[in-house]
Amino acid sequence: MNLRMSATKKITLLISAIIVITASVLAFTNAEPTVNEIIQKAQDKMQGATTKGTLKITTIRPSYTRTMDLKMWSKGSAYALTLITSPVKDKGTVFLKRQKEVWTWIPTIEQLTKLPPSAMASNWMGTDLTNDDLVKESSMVDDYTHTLLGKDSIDGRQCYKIKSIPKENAAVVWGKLISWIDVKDFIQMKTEFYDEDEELVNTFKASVIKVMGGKTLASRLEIVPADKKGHKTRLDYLSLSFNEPIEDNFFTTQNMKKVN
Amino acid sequence: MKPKHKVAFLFVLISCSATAQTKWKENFSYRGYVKDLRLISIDAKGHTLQQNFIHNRFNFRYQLKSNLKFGLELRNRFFYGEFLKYVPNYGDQLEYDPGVIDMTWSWINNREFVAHTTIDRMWLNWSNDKWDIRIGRQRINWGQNIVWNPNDLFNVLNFANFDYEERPPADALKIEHYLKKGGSLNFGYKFAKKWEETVFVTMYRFNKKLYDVQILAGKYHRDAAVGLGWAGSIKNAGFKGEATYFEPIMDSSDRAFITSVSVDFLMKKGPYVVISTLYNTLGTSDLNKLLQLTPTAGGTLDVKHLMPNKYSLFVQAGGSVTPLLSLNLAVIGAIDIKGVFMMPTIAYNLKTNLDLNIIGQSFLGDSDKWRFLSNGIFVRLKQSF
Repeated sequence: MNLRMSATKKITLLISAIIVITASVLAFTNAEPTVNEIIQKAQDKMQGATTKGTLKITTIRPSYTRTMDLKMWSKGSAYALTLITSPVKDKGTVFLKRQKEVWTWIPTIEQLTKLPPSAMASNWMGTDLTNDDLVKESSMVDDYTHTLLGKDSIDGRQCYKIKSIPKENAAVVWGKLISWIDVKDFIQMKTEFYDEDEELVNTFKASVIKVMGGKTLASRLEIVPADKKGHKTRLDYLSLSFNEPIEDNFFTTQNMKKVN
Repeated sequence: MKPKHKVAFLFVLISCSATAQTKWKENFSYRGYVKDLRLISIDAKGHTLQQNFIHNRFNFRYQLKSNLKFGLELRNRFFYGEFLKYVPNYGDQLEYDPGVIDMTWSWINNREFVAHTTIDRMWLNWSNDKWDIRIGRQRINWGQNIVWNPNDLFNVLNFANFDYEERPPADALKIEHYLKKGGSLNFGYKFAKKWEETVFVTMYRFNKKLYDVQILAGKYHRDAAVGLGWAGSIKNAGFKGEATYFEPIMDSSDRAFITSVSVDFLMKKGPYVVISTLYNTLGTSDLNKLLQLTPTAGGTLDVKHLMPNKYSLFVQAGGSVTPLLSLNLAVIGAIDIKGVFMMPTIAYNLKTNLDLNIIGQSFLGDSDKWRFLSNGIFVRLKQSF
């Protein structure tokens, strides 16, 4: 029971993070002018679209690594369903987000559990970043004021460099974000997360740019904490497809038992 | 069946399954684990007792048609150690199969060694986009609540019996009909040799205003039963509960009302916390009955006795310290009988599919003064495949 809970928690947090990261991959495609429009475009891109994909998450520590494979389906920002395909002990575990509600299904004990709303706003596997920050990233337009600082080069790609400061009332833990967004393909190449004392906490880095599901995007995303040497969390998209029709009733608790 | 035949039967079963894998690889799948579990228990007088066993589980699936699936799961357990000398008929105790068909065997049964096999799932499942029907030995899990499930009239969990997370089965028929917006109409029938051991229940489940709600009514053993369950939230915390009322319709049964209400939440950068209460009108005031919960005592309960006493409080906090290490502490207070059950757990992931668990279980009670009634330390290695 307690072991299961801890596994459930891990998975939940992980998956909420994935949904948001996927959303950010979807973002930034064909905008230009003002910095707010770039960010707004990103928000709009996330709405209404469907995504299907397989991905691998690697937790890297100085003395070990662990990987997890997942399949995911999402529709807009309201619906998401994720299935763990490895490691074998978590295989078949399904996570469903439907509007504001979240459930997990653990096939080995045939248990459907509804998770508390705080599951969406908690730390992510106790590791490199807080889940809340990732979730909040999806509301960047509302919660931050953005300033275009100029242009810069990341991995040989010309990028907009944008500073984002949280608005006064926004429930955001960060003091400041600095993002680099690719000028040509609007790929979020890098983001630095600073705390309220302007200390660097995490760096988000995108790489391995390729065409997936008809879009040019980064297939590898990494999060590196500033103060922990050798710690890193890596997310690799193995396949992605966009805008294939998915019925709303795909995202039901009944279907959680059938996607295995 | 004679013991030898039983062994032969098992080998045939496993080798059949192995053949199936190569022959119909596409439709066949299996998974499982092997656990090595060591228990040292210390009773109130300070006597220690050691129990060792190896626990292996297979979960087999075969997709007969696109909408028809067969499932078979079995657990093999091999017991050894001094414990068997003190409980000489342990193998016989395990031999009992509460189902309609006996699929439980202690195929080696002596004072040094007990080898035991039980098929605890064997079902056929048919489904389409409106219906899901399963017949056979299965788990019917209708609980919404976290620790105690008064609505779970088919399979009951004893929290202390952590090594059987799949839970005992029911030989049953389960029908689920899907309704709009994730709602469903459900029917479950648990077969039994005697009428007074059968269970049949109809349940309506729906989702409204961010709440999962279920209403159920049926027959449970010698009683008529009605129940309500929900899972929703208050602010950022989960708010869940279940209540069931039992009214005797046959002799020698007791009227009962059992309810449990829970709150759970994840603290930011902190643990996952569960707080739950249980009220049972049938609870007794006998402190010693608390020890029924220990896994070595059999650890079986029924839905009318989720705890042996009346008022209980459960508190649990736990979470990941690193990606490999998680810690957890669960405490049950049997308030009215001044009893406490504590279960701290350390879980460490040694390799991708190899987990180490160290689990403590302590029962404390206050009959005249507070003292330990029983302590146990479990060390478990689990290899998943």
